[in-house]
Amino acid sequence: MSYYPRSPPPLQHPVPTHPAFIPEPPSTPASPHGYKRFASSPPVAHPPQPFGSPPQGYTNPFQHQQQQHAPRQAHAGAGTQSSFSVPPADFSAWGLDGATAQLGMQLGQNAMNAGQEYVSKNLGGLIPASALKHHFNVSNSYVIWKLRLLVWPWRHRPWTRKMHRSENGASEFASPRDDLNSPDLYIPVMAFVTYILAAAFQSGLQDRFHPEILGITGSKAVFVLLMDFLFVKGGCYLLGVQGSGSVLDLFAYGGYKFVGVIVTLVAGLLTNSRTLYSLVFLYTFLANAFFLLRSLRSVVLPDAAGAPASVGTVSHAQRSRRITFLFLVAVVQIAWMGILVRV
Amino acid sequence: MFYGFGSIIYFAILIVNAIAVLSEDRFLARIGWSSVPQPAANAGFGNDVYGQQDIGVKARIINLISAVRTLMRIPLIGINLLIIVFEILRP
Repeated sequence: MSYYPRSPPPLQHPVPTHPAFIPEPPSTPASPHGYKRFASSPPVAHPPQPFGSPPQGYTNPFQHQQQQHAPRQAHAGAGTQSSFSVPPADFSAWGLDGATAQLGMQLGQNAMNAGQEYVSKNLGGLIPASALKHHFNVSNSYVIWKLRLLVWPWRHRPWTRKMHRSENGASEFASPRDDLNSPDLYIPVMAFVTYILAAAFQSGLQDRFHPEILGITGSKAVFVLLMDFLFVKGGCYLLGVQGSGSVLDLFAYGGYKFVGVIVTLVAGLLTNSRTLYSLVFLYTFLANAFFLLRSLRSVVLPDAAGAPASVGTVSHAQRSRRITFLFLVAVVQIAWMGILVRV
Repeated sequence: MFYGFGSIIYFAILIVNAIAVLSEDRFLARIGWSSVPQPAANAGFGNDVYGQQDIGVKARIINLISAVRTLMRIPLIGINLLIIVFEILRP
């Protein structure tokens, strides 16, 4: 490049004196007249993105975003509140004028509200929403620690669940955000979906994928979960265990085995040796069995210090029977994991 | 192995059918598994907490079998009819 003897002229950024004009996008047959802008910008429009705007200062894009954010929230939360000024829908390309369009939108909102109320009234009792929310109240650190616990449970010291949270006078278990030992449903649900995807992936790598594999794997996983839950619940009933954990807790404990199965599947994909694969499978089975032993011990054996008044003392024979049952639950995990690993 | 929810439902219905067809006096009494009346069996039927733990595994199983037989005999007729019709109409 040639070297100029003089210094180059000072740089001048182009500063437009009027806001840039963006023409209206052509109206396609699918959309009503004009592009439905969700921004409250003036008709001589600033573009929705900030990078096209003139560099008048860095406060401007934030103002744009704040202005756009509020009407967007109004559109997103259309079913809940309409306190923001919703720009009237312009359906004139469909043959409706403004008032009819407003009426149509109100009708839609009313229908959605009615649908939500119907669902919550009829199906609200089936699925306990508060218990579900309690199980999904997880944080990132909880997930990481729990996954680490599922893979390496040997050194974990206190396995009892914390019970401090006494709202409405009743003492409940602490949510998973505060207590590492509390079972959650986030990891089991995620692991369930990941297991189906991993099974489909492996069958695809072996050139035997067809779309029904997804459904078959899902059904098989649901069957294993159901059998595990019935086994634990039935055993608790037969042995007379008082208050043997809620249904969601038992499903959560049952869903943790998917993590070990996924680790085994990944190990099977990475290596080709049978011994390493079976070693990984055995290790994850042992880790899962130990985890279940320690977690269900506080459920099955009334040895915990909490609530000695409601639970009677068990005789020695009963106690040994319960310990045998716990051991059986932990050992039968190898059968479930064996079914799951056979993709 | 299990190709869908249908096989799970069939499995459950068959198991419940098997429990429901057990005859009380021809089979269960012969092997000593007839449902014993409660006050005669447990003399020390004290607090409910102790009572539930003193019942024992065998008595619970007997209780469960008799409960299934009492409750599920009539609904099982309907469910079996449905499944039979479904199997006939399936191509």
